[in-house]
Amino acid sequence: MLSAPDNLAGFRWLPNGQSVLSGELLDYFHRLDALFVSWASVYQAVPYAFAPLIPAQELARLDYFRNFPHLATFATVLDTAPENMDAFTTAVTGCDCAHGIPLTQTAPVTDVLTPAACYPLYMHLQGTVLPAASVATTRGVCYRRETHYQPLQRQWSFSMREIILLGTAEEVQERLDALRERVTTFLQSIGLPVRWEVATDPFFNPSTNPKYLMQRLDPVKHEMVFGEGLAIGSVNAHRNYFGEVFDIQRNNAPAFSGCVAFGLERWLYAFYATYGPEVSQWPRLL
Amino acid sequence: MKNETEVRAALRAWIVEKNGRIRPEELADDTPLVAQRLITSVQIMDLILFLERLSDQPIRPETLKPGVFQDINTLVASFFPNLESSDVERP
Repeated sequence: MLSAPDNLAGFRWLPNGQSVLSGELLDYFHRLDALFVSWASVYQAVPYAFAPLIPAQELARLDYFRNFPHLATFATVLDTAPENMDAFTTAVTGCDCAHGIPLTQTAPVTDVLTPAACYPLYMHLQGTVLPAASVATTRGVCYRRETHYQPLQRQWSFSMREIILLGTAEEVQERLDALRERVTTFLQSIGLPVRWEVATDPFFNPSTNPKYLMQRLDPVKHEMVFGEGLAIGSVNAHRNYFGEVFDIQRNNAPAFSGCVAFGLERWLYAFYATYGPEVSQWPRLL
Repeated sequence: MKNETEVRAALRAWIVEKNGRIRPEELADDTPLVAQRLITSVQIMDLILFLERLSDQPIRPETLKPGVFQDINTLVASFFPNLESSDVERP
């Protein structure tokens, strides 16, 4: 499998695990995203645009820091006490910063760069009652710290389009199934070699984490796997976990939820690896 | 050695107690336990310990197969394969 798309016009890899897209490649990125949005539109999905920072306090309610501490990217700021600021400006004077910035006293971390596009939605909806099944869609830049990065395949920041379903267990499952079928039909129509695989979330120290055991015993995550194991998207059933944590109600009970997630850079990589470096030769969308 | 009816009753009582919301009459032997989050990941290790005590057999979590915690029926079939049958009808 190709690993570094050096010959992909409009792509530039940054050494800090991020990429730059431009020109025809960026245009394709947008058309791909628009395709996913069209699948959400079937359900009159409400579009959302969320800010990248989410309150750490809210993320803590999801047990995120215990389950995925290795992935978190914290928004760190300095303690604004004048003497601390003075110490910092002295420390960075003349610093080439090649090995990082010598921080002085930091303020308590209150915010985190969101690791998933759908988390802000549950936070936004907390304390609400859903009169009917609900569908939302959003595209967010997500941040996951990793031990290593690969262009388009594993990035510190990446774009995720999500279609998020809320309702009763039956309402959510019915739509998850329909969307999965729609994805499968599309993949077959363009001949992209992707298979569905049962997966678990990347828990820290999984062997001691009951959540990992639970996911293994009752799979809730099915990934769209390209090539040797690149998950370009996933279908996730959350049961009523988010409904309970954030008090989102449907039919006098915590709402069930699920989402279909598409990692846009990884889709681009799958297209590049399958159809070659000429974007004009990639399948036509919409 | 407990019979099947006693095992099912013990499992039902444990789930009702730990869940705290569902009533015994609402919990059938095929009620989805995990899918409806009647048992959660927080309780899963406690349930395994309870199953060990009830079956008098050790359980190695890493060997468990998907689906064994689906409902009371699958728990009985998976962890109590050699139970004495009972004349009492299942609820």
